[in-house]
Amino acid sequence: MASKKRSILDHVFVPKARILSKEEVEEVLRKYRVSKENLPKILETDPVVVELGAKKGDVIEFIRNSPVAGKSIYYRVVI
Amino acid sequence: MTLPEYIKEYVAEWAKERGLKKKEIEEFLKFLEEYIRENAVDPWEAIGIVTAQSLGEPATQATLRTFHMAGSAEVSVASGMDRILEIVDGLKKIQTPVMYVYLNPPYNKDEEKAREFARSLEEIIVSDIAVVKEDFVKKTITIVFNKKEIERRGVDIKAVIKKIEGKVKGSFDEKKYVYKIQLPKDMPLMKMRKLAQSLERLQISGLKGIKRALVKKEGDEFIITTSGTNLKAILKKKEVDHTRTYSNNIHEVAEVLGIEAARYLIIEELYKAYMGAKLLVDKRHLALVADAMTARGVITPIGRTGIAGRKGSVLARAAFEETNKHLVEASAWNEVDHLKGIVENLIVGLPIKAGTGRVKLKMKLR
Repeated sequence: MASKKRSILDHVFVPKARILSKEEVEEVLRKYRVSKENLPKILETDPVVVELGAKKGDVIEFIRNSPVAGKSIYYRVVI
Repeated sequence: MTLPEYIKEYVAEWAKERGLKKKEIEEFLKFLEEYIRENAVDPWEAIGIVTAQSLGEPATQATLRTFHMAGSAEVSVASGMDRILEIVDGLKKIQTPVMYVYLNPPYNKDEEKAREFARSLEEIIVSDIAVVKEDFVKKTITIVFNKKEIERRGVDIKAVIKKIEGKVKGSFDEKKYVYKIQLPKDMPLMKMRKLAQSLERLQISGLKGIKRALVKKEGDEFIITTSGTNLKAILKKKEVDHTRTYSNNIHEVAEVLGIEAARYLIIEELYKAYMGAKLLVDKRHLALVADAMTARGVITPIGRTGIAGRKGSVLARAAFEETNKHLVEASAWNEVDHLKGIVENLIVGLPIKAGTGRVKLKMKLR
């Protein structure tokens, strides 16, 4: 275990995260009928964003483990 | 509406136990789906109000009962209303900062090793094990070490002297345990004072900010609880399980692990605080609060400095708190209220845009 590189993404508090491709972003925005500005935000300096290497304007998908729904998907736009 | 994965799995297992047929399982799942749909929140339901009331009512009860919880052992953590307010107001300085440090094997099974590691975490500064005295006439600073404290804390005195020597040169009397520093005669008093103070605060060992570290048994492993937090530093230690260790400071977690982790922590800590006061609250309400508090990417407190104070509508803000301030500012800056929210429409007497006020009927013409 100790030989592996330590990443905050392994922490149990941090949900699985990935950067969405342009097509996926459009699909999400169409599905929920919102514009990018309406999405919840995440700072560019956020450790998860830094770790993923996301840039301003990217949309990040989080797959949370929810106690009621099992899994829930959440989107945040990098500002 | 599709069923959550874990319910499907649960049903599959349950059906296997009872030996249900495929058709029966399908029928049952259909029934479940219908049941969930019936119990789901209606479209345009004002869930924010429901959450506010669901959290506010028990909080009122707790306040009436008693503001504090009496008597508790181990590291006493702020609980009850104090803690709830701390989280909801997004305070940066919390009453009892605590870290829960999980350990990697073999430290998590061996109490002695865990204890040793815990001791190495505690921050020790010079003033913990010695008294720093200044003589402004003779221009000397003497550090008188306390032998008992040094032995109790297991400090290596030679390492301490080395650390001090890295700052200023002096002579150490091994018999009396006294370190003497002769300063130049023309040194200004202010400079001397500052030097003495920096010597007092000189860190000898441990992690910055950690006052106490205690070993506790949780399940079949040993964990360390600390008072005082330093999450960033502790996650780098190889003895520490970096996937589970956390602190109860929301801002610290947001900084080290990100805003999503902070959201999770808000839910868990609020839940703990409510459960600690024996108040039952559904986690969905807490999730809504946490989502609202983290939607901006930074922790936003609820209340006039946070979410309520940043509403788009003047009337909504004025209706909450600081009425005069908001009305005066709005008139001075020529603000326009677009009457998009609930509160403003209530004030002007229009139907609110929520619940049945949001839907329109369409006649089916034949």
